[in-house]
Amino acid sequence: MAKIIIGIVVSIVLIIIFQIILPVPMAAISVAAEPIGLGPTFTNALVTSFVLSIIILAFAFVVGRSLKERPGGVQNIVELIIEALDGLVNTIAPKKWAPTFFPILATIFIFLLFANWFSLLTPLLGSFGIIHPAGTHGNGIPVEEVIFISGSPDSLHHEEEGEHQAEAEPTEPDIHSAEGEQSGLEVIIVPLLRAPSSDLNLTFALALITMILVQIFGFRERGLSYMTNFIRLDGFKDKGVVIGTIDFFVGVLELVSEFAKIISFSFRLFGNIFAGEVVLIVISALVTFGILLIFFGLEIFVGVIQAFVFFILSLVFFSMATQHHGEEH
Amino acid sequence: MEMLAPETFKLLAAGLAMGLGAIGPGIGIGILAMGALQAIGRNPEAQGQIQTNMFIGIAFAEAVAIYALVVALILLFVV
Repeated sequence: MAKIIIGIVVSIVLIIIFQIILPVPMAAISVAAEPIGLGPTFTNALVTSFVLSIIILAFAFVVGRSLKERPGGVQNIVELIIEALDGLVNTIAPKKWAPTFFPILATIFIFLLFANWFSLLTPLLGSFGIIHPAGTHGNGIPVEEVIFISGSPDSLHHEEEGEHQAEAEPTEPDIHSAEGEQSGLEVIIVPLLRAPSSDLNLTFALALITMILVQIFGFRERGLSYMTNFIRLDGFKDKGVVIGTIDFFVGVLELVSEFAKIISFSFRLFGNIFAGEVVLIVISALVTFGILLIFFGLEIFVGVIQAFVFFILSLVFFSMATQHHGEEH
Repeated sequence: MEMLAPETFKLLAAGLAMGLGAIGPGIGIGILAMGALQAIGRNPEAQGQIQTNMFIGIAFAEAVAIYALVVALILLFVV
């Protein structure tokens, strides 16, 4: 008991000491991904998703070239993940369609898993970037707290030069703080890298792809009778006018919910990951040491869960679209 | 009474939309997890299937909170 109390006291003292020695300025939080100077649509989230895709592709290529009968370390891990996903797809999807669903869904899961985990690096990556003068918006970071790598703060007035200075990152950086030179000036740091799934464009694109694929699979399995999901006229014949009308509007509701699914898919992922980023930024500005680790653990968990939820929901929607009407109930 | 800027109500509305909108889904997810845990306790062999269905249910309950989030974001940045 005494040890626990001593431990708590020591960590509180450490937190306070670190808070005084290493204060972290609050980073600017931006809901949209920011362009990094190569055109208005070339955002930092796009850079990260390209980098991530290339890394995953290269890894898959290397592992795929060197498959062995008796798998070693890396191949074991990859096989474990792939087999777990394949098992899940096979238990939920119809037998005929499982081989078609699996590659799409596994790709989404693996990409999203690492895209979500990229948000863990936000407190680190958010501090490397292109520097712009804050202007009149406020919420900038005072120049005294910014370290310039090989450049002088007077290049702040030319935005083009600011990009080169941040991207170069030479091996022997000429680090100096701009302290005292231009006090009172505030700057905004646009990070060079940003977690892909904290950009609404990526999550919306994935949601759109998933829901369009649902319709395609539905039509391929059931032909034109797939439309009876949305336009329900059978009720008028079998069950009379009242039940028929209700049935018809249930179909309309089904059609609307198909669009609502796109929105909820994209905002679920975006909201969770973006909120996680904001929490990490705010907590790292409040408490420099120790307590931040708890939130990192939480974010690792949330990243896995959200990738899994996206995977399992698209699997369920795919399976529901390819099931015939009688089997559903 | 002092005049309040329209900005004030925008911020207030966004906060209220998210805060009130999160109550229902919070309760719902709690009930869902409770049911799933009870089911696992009674039938531990079915854990995998129960977990999968629980996640699907949670995702649907969470969707309501997401609509609140969308409304809050629209209030903040679009209106």
